[in-house]
Amino acid sequence: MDELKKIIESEQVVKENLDKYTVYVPNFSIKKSKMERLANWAFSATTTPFPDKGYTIKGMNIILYLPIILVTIMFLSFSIMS
Amino acid sequence: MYIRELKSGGPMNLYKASEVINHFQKGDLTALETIYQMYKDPLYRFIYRYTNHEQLSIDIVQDTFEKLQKNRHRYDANKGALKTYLYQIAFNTMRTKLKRRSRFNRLLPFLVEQTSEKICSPEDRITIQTAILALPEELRAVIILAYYHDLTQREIAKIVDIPIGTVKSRLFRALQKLKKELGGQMDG
Repeated sequence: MDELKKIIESEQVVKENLDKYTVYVPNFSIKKSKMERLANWAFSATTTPFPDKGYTIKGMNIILYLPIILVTIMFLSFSIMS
Repeated sequence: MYIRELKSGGPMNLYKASEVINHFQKGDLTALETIYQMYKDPLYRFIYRYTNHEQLSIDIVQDTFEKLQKNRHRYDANKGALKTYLYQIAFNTMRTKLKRRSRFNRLLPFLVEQTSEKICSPEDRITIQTAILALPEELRAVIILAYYHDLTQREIAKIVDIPIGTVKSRLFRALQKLKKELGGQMDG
């Protein structure tokens, strides 16, 4: 056995844990097209850009419509002034 | 032909291995397929344990074989085993991809894919899997290659591109960190 492996095996707790870590290998071909890769990337799970909690429907509506309301008010006030 | 020999006869002997490499360097695609069948699983496991990301690991294995095919004339059997050469390509490809990803992550964090670690439930989190992921990158590769892939100190040094002496010191540091992490988990 290689020297490095012997060093690791001398650490019982680490060795036992390392042995538990098995990896399932999925079936995949030797090549994949760029389109397939792009599709995999596009449909993969991502983290949300918003914090996890503290949302209400009312809050979401405000976030969604506030910019539109503000732009409308600005537009109206500019048109009245001119 | 080679695949049938491999499946029926277990591990290839040295004569067969050199024969396959010879055929592969001459552009024989069956020989490439044989090499792929031999090393696909261990390479995938290495990358998966390092990144904890299934799709990324598949992409890197495929890129590794694409690069091997493109640069097949550059491989010199006198300089080292094909296994070391393949791990070297995979490790460099992985490093480049991870660097690119972290840059992308800083720029557009919400477009970055979640790793399976993040999808796991909180109860599953403190495992050897997360302990390995928590290791600094320079220590992670050394412990994975040494334990799971039966590579020698010299081979690991070549793959990770560090002096031979550094391999052992990094291994000791990795073991200390893992022991601390896993010991804490067992106590708690």
